[in-house]
This record gives sequence, C-alpha cells and structure tokens, in this order.
Amino acid sequence: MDFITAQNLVFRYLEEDETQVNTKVVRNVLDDVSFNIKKGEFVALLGHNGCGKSTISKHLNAMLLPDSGKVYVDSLDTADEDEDFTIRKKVGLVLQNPDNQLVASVVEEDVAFGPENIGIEPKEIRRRVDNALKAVDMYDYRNQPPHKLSGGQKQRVAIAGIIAMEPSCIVLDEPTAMLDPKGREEVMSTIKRLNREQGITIVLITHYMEEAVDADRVIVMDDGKILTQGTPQEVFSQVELLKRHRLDVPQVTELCYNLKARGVDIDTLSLHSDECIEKLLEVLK
Amino acid sequence: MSAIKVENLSCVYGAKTPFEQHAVKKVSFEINKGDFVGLIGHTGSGKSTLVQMLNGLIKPTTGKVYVDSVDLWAKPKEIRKFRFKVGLVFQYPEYQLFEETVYKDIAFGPTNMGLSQSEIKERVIHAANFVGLKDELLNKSPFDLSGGEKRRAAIAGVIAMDPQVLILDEPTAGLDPVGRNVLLSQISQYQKAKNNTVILVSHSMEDVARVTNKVMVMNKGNLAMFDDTAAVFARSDELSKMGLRVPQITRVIEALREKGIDLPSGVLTVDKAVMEITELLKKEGKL
Amino acid sequence: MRDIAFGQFYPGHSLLHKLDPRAKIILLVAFIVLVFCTANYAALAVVVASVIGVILLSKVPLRLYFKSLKMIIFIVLITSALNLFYGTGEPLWEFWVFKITLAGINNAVFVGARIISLILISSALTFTTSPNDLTDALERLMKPLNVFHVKVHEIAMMMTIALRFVPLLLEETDKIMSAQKSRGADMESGSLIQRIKALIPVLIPLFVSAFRRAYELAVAMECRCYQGGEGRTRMKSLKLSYRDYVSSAVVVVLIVGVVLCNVLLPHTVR
Repeated sequence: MDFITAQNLVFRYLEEDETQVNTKVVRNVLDDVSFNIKKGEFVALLGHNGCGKSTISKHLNAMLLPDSGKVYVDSLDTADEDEDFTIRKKVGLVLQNPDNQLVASVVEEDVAFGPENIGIEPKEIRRRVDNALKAVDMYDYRNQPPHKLSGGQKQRVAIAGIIAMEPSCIVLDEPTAMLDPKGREEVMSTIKRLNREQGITIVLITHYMEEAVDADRVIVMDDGKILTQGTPQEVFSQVELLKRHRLDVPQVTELCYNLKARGVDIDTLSLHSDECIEKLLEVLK
Repeated sequence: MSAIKVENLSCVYGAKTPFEQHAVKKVSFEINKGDFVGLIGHTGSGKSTLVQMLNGLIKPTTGKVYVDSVDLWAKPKEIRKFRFKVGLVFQYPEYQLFEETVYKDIAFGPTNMGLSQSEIKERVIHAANFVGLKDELLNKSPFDLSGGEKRRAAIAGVIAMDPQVLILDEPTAGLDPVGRNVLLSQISQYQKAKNNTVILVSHSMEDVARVTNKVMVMNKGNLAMFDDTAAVFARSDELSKMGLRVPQITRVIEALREKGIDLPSGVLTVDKAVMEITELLKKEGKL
Repeated sequence: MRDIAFGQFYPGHSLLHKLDPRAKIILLVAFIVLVFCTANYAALAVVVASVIGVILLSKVPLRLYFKSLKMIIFIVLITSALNLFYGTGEPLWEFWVFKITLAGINNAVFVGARIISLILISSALTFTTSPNDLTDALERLMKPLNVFHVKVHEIAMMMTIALRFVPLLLEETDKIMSAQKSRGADMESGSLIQRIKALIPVLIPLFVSAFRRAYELAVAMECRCYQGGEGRTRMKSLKLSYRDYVSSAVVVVLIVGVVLCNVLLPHTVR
C-alpha cells in the first residue's frame, strides 16, 4: 500500500538573474517529480546539494506546498490546510543540524515537546518519552542538557522527539552531514533499527552513497528531476550514468565496475566490502 | 628543512580541578617544508587542541612549538605574528564571514598584517584564484554566495595571508561529493604550486588517502602514529582499535592479502587497486 | 567565558533541590523583602543565620557561592564604602572632607550584608533549580496575568529557548573569536574604540548565525506541531508537597523573628 504519493510535483523559486541586475528568473527546483513510498519501506533519496532533495522533504509534511501537482500522505492531500497537523503527526521531519532543532535544555523535556504540542495526557507523554528515548538508546541521558552531548547523541534525541509523536513515517534531511564517523554510524544504525523493529517508514535524504546501499529503494535526483530509481543494486550498477552526473558510487562498486571493464570475469557489481572480497577471491584464487 | 617542530607539547584544561583533562600529552614531531600531512583521530582525541597550539591560539601547558626554528612563545606579545605564518582554517569557516564584500573579507587577514593596498589587492586576487572564486564574485556580499562558494571564500581569507603552514580543519565537512572533490583538488594544487606545508585535519579517510603524503594519528591525546600515508593505512587493525576506519578500498585489499593473495599493502585509491589486481591477473595468465 | 557561575544549575538531591520551584520563587521574594526590613543587628543576625542555613541545606559546594560573589564583590565594596562616608552624627574619625561616623559604619555593614545575603540566597535558588523548572514555575505563577492579555506562554517559551541557546552561542562566540584571531584580528590591545571596532568581525557572524538558527528552529518547531500555548499539555505537573508547606512555615517563623527584633529592639539604621 502506498503511504505517500507524489504526483507531478513542480516547485519554483524566483531568483535573481546572474547576468542582469534586478530581473528575476524562475527556477524549477522540482520539475515534474513523481514517486511513491510504501508503508514500512526504507527509501534513500540521493543527489547533490541544490538538486531539490531538501525541497522534497518539506513537501512530505506540508511545510511546503507544490506549485502544481499533488502530494498525498496516507490519502490526505497536503494542500488541505485543515489537515496540516494530522499530516505532521504522521510524517515527522528530522533536520540536518541537531543543535537547531532541540528546544528544551533537558533531553527528556525536549522529547516531550511534540506530544505536549498536540495535547496528549501527561501520563501518556511520560510513557511515550521513555519509549522514544529507549528506542534511540538515549534513555540514560534523559536528564542531561543537550549541549553536553555529542553530535550523534543530539541527533538521536532529535529523532526521539519525532518518535514520541508516534509517526508512521520519518523523513530525515541529511541527518548525518554534520556528524563525525562515529555519530554517523550511531544515527544510521538507529534509523535502520526503527525501520526493521518498529516498521516505521523511512525516507533518508543524503549525499553519502554508503548510507543508501542498505535501503530498500534508492531514488536519485539531479537538477530537480528524478534521474533513476530502483534497488540499490540496480541504481549503483549504473556507474556511468552516476559518474556522468558527478555522483559517487561506493568504492567497491567502482572497483568491480573498472575490473569488469578491463575484462575481469565479474557478473554483478558488489555494494558491500564482504561481497566484493568474496567475489575477488573467486577470481584471484 | 623543518617547517614546524614540536617538543614535548602538552595541554591540560582545568588543571587542579576535578575536571582536569589532558587534551594533549607530551607530543613531539617535526614536519618538513612541502609536506602534505593528514591529521586523523576521532572526536576528542586532541586534534583541535593540537592545531590551535600550532598557531598560538592556545598556549601549551608545557613544551615548545618552533615555527621556522623560532620558539612561538619566546615573546608572548608578538604571538600575533605567528598567526600569519601558520594559517588556520576552522571547521565551517563560512561562519566567520562578516564584511560587505567578498573582496574585503578575504582582505581582512592581509590588512591586519599591515600590508600596502596594492599588495593586499594582489594577494586577494591570487587567493581567490587558488580556490576557484570567479572575479565577479569578489564584489558581491559574502552572504549572497552559495554554500560551497562561502566555504571557498573563507579559505581564501586565510590563504591570502600567505602562510608558510596552512592548517585546514575538516574543510570538506557537509559538502556533497562534487564540492568535496573540487575543494580537495584545489587545496592539493595550492600545495603543489606553493610547495608549502599543509596539514589536513579530517574524519574522511578517503580524503586523507587521496591527497596527503604523510599521516599523523592522534589517540587520547597521544601521537599514536606518524608515517607515510600508505604505511599508516596499512595498519588498519590498530586504526580500527582507535575507532578509525581506513578507506573501504584499503580494507578490501588488506582482507585479500590476509587470504594469501599477493597484493601490495597500503593501496589507497580505487585506480591503484584496479591496476594492482589486473597486473596480478595478467602475471598469473588469467587475463 | 564559559565559567559564569551566577545562575548555574548544580544538580543534586538536597531538600532545596526537591522543593517545588514555585514555592522557592515565592519564598525568595518573601526573603528579599525580609532582608530589606532588617533594622537592627539582631534582625540582621536572624537573616544571616538563615542564609547560612540555606547554603548548608543546598549541599552545593561553597566554592560556587564564592564564585558568584566574586562577580559582584566590587559593587558591594563600593556601595559599602560610599555609605561609610555618608553617615550623620558625631564623627569618629576625620580627614579633609571625609568623616566617618558610627551611623556610617552601621550603614556600610548593613548595605554590604544585605547585598551579599541577596546574592547568596538567589544563587541558592538558581543552583538548586534547573533553568527549565524555573521558567516553568514562572509561567505557572504568572498565569493569572493572562487576564491582562500578557502573553505568559510566549514569554516562557522565549525564556526556554534563550536558556537552550545561551551555551551554544557562547561556544560559538569563542569559535568565531578564535577564527578571527587566526586571521590576525587583534582583540587584546588598542584603545577602547579600537577594541569595540575589533568586535565587529565577531558580532556580525554571531548575529547571522543566531538568525539562521532561529529560522531553522522555527521550522523544526512547526514540524513538531507547535502552535502556541493553546491546547498544549505538559509532561511534568508541579505538585506542592509537605516539604513546601514546612519550608513556608519556617519562612513565616523567620518573618515573625525579624519583625519581633525590629519591634522590640531599637533600630540601628533607618
């Protein structure tokens, strides 16, 4: 069943013309973009900065409305103003900078912020906050101030703040871009666990290819359009297409691709190192 | 010839309080002129404290820093002079932009050095060139630039001081693959053109592997390794014990070596790996 | 920059930590009034003794209290010194235009002791109450002001956000200062005007960053369904317990004590 359907999204910005002063040109940030996301799916949205992927994230929870086209969340039209908060309860959005999305000076109070906004009973909030903090493995830090935490921990608290609203879907807009490798790993394993164990639909927006290889489906954006989509295997096998659009592929995939091009007997391009090592052993032994 | 030399350098925060913390512990090393050094270590390993001691922002608790064989703290009042010799670009340097135009912002450092207007102009244009900022951008407000351009303008602001040692703290953080690649090759070109010493602090092993010829590894305030890049990444077991990961490609080749495949250690790039594997296959007559 | 002691929360489990923050605020106000009502040494002794009692009860290291005093000790000394020379009556000691009288000495002692008591007792409040509890309590105490169209929830939300972002912006100031110093900015020398000018490269990036953060925070809050105070619930509800009643009783006893001292004994100061 489709949880989110986006049909022919167009979104425009007016921006200043580079060549002429005081004239505005229309730029299509999203240019006829259609996709759907199934319940329980883990979708990675790839592309470089300015390709329109962040604009998509804000369309999924009615923070932005398309200039033309439609977004349906659980059959609700995002253009329907009365449904804004219903939609935001269903689709939580986690942003890039963890520092700028935490409101309170105590971890658990921040996690409670969302449920408090939608008028949940105090006892129920307590239950949700505790569960959410346990789900991201931050329960032991519930009485700490956020500024004493590491980047990865802060981002997990931000995720907990969304989980406490019990959404069916979490959209994460480059949640690891500002983190160190350890923080990135913490956040990624948390996201995967939430998807696997709690069945939460995940839309992960990123420019790190390594983060996309474990998704169920990858959508690649370039210049406001969908370039290609499919399973990670399908997408990353198109090394030439991705390179032409100046996108990276995982190093092992590139290795397999280049070896294959030189006539080495490799049928499928690996995405993970273990797979690649095995395959190369077969060839080299 | 040594560009920067460090002897028994230590830094203690909050000495004699319950919060006493040894950020850097008795570190000694010597970096030669023209070296491109990667500095790696996970968050809290003492990297940031160390680089801030190299340009005199933090005064070491004990030990000495020599730049061009001159003791940094011999005359504490003249410490500002060394900031021009050891240029430090902070993480997310675009957050330091403040002037009305990009030109004026890049000129901030040279102006503080007390240079003449003509010399300042020359340096600004030169520095903007190195980081690939187009001339027409120089008269724009720095706040109107794109994210990647802001980053490059900020780096140009340090390059314009023409430092003998350039230290960059995570210059590619938050950039997408294109931005990352472009910036890295610009830094690399700068290093080659000037033959200056560059220290690249980074979490990205791929970046470090790509551009540096030496690598320093900091772990819990100690200098754990300091060697040629290939030699450091060949010690992947030790690195992973410190919470550091070697580039994926290096890991794969190391794993193949362990299984008895005759490949060299310290392969850092995909191109090199492709070359080594095809050569091996040719040698064995399988290709 | 980061060790500003005044107003810093020191987590703990003392009786003072456990009191209801609303009770603590009301008791603090009562105490402040009390401090200014002291008219003779007996009353002052009662106040000083209770300040010492509160400090001991808070189980916060004395070092922190000294730190918060250190910031203000100059003001105390100057006001005391001024009062010293403004007494009326027989001079005990005279030099040129300066003369010191018994009343002057009394004034100086009272002013000094009052200010110090005030700082110590308010520090005790902020040391034992988390900033969040404090804003929360203020919001609840000010709720009746809603009648007068005072936006109590909005004010409290502003305080909460300010509290959250103060440490962040301090850290950021530090970082920007280091970055500009690395570009040769000179912030330590020069005349006053030069030093103020030297702050521009720090202040502009700081403002830009604060606005960017504010924008992003607003987006994040909207994503989390924030729509003002209406229909909002709270996870933690405040409840007065026996401790709050007992402490209120103690403060009442203190008030009675001071009033008795003032009434029964002659006044030393106006």
